[in-house]
Amino acid sequence: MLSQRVANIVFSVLLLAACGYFIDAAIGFDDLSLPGSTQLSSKFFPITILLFIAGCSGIVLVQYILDKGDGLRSDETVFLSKMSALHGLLTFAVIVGCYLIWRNYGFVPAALVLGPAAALAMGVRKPAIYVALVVISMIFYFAFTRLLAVQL
Amino acid sequence: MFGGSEAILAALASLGDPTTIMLMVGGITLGIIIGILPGLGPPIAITIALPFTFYMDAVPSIILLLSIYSAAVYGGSISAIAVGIPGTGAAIATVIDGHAMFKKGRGGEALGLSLTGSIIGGIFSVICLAFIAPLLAQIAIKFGPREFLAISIFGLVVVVRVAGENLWKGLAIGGAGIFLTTWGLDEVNGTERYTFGSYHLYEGIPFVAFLVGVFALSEVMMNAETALRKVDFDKSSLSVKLPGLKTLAKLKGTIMRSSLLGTVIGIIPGEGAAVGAFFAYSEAKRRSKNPEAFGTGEPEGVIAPETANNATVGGALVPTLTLGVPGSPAAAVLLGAFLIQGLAPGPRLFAERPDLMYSIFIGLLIINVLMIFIGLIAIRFAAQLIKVPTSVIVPSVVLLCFVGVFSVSNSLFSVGVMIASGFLGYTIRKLGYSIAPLSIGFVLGPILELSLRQSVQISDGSLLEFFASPIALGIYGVLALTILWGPIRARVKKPMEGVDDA
Repeated sequence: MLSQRVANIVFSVLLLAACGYFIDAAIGFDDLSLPGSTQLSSKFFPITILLFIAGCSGIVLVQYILDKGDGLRSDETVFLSKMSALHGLLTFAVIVGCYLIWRNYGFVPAALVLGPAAALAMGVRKPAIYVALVVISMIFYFAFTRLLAVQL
Repeated sequence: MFGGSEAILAALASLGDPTTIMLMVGGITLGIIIGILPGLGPPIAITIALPFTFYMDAVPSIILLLSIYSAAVYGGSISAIAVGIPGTGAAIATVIDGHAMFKKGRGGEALGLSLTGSIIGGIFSVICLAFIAPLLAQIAIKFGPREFLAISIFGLVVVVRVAGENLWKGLAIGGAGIFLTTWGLDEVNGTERYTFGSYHLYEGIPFVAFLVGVFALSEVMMNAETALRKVDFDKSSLSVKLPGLKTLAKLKGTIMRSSLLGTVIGIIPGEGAAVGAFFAYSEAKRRSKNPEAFGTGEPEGVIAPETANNATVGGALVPTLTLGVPGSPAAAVLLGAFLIQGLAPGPRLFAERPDLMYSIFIGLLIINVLMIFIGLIAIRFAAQLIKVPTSVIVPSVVLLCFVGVFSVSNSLFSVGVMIASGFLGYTIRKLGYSIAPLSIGFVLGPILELSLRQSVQISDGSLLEFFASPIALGIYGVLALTILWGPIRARVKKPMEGVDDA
């Protein structure tokens, strides 16, 4: 199983890389402040904050590499078990999938798929729950479109 | 006094409106339900309802969210007592003695104590809020950019210090929250920043979508991992037995202390209901004549945390309303509701909308009174609610988030942002980061940047001028004390280790 130590090292490296990318993007911002004024340019604040994040992430990275620091929980795993990891990540995949269905085919197909697919992703094998979720989706749809006049 | 009797009358008229009353009752019911459901806490309860306030006037929308907030903090105690699973973080301390009482067949008594304590704590903190907030607002009205910069830094640092076990992780993720607010057109001079050529990002990352993603979506994904866990409990002792006057008289010291502790802890930014509850619990245990009974089903162990966690609600609203600095993650979401209404919480709001302020004070009192009756009814149905499978809750909440976020701007882009921020929230939680600094950084980011830029302009580029304001200097001083207090206390305590209190 993925350990907190490895996951946090990877995450810190990604955060540092992201900071580098965004600092590079900020350097290219147009400077529309008045010439000669003491006004801070638009790039100052984001770059300062990014440098701050990079500094903190660097410290977190070193802490995990050396395995020394408060609250690191290096010996723990990110997920309780393989099954719980699978359930969590598959549920996220279902959410993304339903968003794409909504974009391409409309809200109703996405809402109908979401409940049963999410239940399946969480390891539920009871048809009664699938049916209940489809009914709940329809109740939500009618409540929002008819009562609250939301254009879905 | 802000507004005077006219404002109070206007507030009473708004609160007497049938729609507002319905929203209050609905909000309390929804809050208790969400509080009972394990895993869904007050910030999620408020974020789910937040998009729907877009269509409402200021008073009903804020009252709805406050009803949900107060009731969700209380609702968590029901599942904590009945099944030993705290519905909210604020109810973790209640599990210890509350569930022990339930297992001994004294569940009704524990539920009665938690309800009574919650109401007393809630009312006490509202009274404090009504007295402290206008006074603080009168001082804060003199604040300029330098003071607001100091307050924002203070709020952020305090939140980071209390959220999570690793300071550097908290600082990094709080910084990330601030950084995300720099996306979009620069408010000062119109420069495009991180828009990636998309007009959707001109106004920055959608506020509601981001908060719903970080709080609600990340939480349901965490719950999805353990969706197959079964909840078993004996519902026979799930009836309320309200404490009599004799019992309350016996517990009055604990109730008063817990109310005060909860209110004060609520005022400190970042110190949420959970901290207040634990603090009150340990204080009750410390002062008890028989501390060894705590953990075995001691009534004081139920009433102390429950009184304190509801008292943090009013306390958290003090900095939120007077300074625009949220006292807790739930208050950060509440701040979003003000922004949706085009209102900027802060000292000027007391002068501009005194009717709204009085509506909040009076409304919170009514909410706490109504909670007695709705709470008594809700407990009867708690057995059914606790048994609702997580596999049904997760997709239902996701669908609610989809519709809610979409309805704010009729934009699928916002739904995409919600999913992305939900994944971000889920990832950082799994890696041991706290989402409180991220969300509060996201709320305070714009204030921080604007006040910094204005301060630099006022001081003509000199950093020393930042400390020229006595108020700002005082705030930085308190901040320094807050940071240094832990190490100082540890240093003082060390030589005293091993010395008995007697």
